[in-house]
Amino acid sequence: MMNSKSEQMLERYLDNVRFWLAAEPADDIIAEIREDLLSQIDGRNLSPEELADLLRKRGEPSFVAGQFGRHRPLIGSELMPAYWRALDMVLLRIVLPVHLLVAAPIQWLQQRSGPEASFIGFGIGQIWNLLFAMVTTAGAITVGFAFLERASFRIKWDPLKLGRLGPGKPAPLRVPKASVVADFVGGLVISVVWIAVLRDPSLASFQFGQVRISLAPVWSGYIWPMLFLSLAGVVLNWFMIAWPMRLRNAPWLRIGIDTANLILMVALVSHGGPWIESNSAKVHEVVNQWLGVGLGIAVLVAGWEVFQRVRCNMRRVLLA
Amino acid sequence: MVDPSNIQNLRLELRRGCLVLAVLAQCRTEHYGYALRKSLEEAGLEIDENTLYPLLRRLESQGLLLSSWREEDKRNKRFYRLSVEGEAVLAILLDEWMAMNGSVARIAGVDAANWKGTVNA
Repeated sequence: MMNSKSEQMLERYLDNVRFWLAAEPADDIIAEIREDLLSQIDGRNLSPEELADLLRKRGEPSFVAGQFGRHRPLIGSELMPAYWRALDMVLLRIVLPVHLLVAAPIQWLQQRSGPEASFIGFGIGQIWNLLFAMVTTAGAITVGFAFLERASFRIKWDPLKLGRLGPGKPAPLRVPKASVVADFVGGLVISVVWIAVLRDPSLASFQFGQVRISLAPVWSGYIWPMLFLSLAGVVLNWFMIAWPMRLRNAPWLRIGIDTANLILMVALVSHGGPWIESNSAKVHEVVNQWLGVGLGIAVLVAGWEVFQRVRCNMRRVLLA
Repeated sequence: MVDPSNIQNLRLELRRGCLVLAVLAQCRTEHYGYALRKSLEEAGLEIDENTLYPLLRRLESQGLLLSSWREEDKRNKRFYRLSVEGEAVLAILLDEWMAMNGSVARIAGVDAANWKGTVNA
């Protein structure tokens, strides 16, 4: 016989185990666990501490109950590789690039007109949106595969009809050396121009007869970041030319620089101008209109290049 | 250096099938849970309560064991015994077990009948 405190502890333990059990067999299982524990106690008058030791040895209630469950995995081992492949393809190759290159720039262009538009606030909002999109997409994929698992779906295959998946190791992406050299020289020239403008802002003004054109104040916040990215590109291109085989992560560095450039361009375009100022109202209007179109096209081209680079990111880069 | 957790996992995998065989064999005579566990322990096969009771239910749901509640020593206890189907399955599994045991012994180049162990020898 146990004392009342120990009896209460035993009942509390069994109630906790019952909580985690399915309703139907719970009574039967609890009766059997109780009987087993009473057999172990074997009529001894256990103190609460001794009973607690016995129950600790038996296990945490949800664990004990869990052993009686007929668990069926949400996604079994046969479908698991397809599940991971689907997550990889949809999240990393569709949701992520589409969000970064299409959805986010469009939303920024829509929001920029508001007086409260802030690039940092927009960026935080986009991270949240991206996380939400990825989690909901992953959830939908998981539910879909769980349904296939419950429906006992199995992939039908025939060794005679297995598709060709291409070479196991992707062929390296061959970049013409001339293109890298041109990028290097171009980046160097642009960097020198930005440095010169930073040292002497009057260099960004041009006089054509009576008409004077200069950079609008909107550029002031962009010159330093653009110079930094331009120099980063120059350094990367120099390494690409000098030690092409050592830069295994060059594609990722390039994608990082191009993406940062793209973001800067989107931010610049989103101001809606004016990007230049002129003493001639006509020149001011026409040039800014064309600059808007030109910058918009540049954004699309830069976005496409980033997209292409992301597509090729797993491929090694060799100078051809 | 042997990784203890690795050994533990491999041992669990090895034991899983053996336990089914041992429980079925032991249930050729009727036992309630606690007594069954003690009898297996005395025969050298320790089994955790959280493994034994779910296993008994699973084997019963597969029709290999029969169970009934009965009072003994003033307490209600659930007694398990092998069903007719369970006897047939046990015979098949024992054949399989003995054949597998013999094969492993031949492959490992050991005499199963006079095995003294290598780890604690």
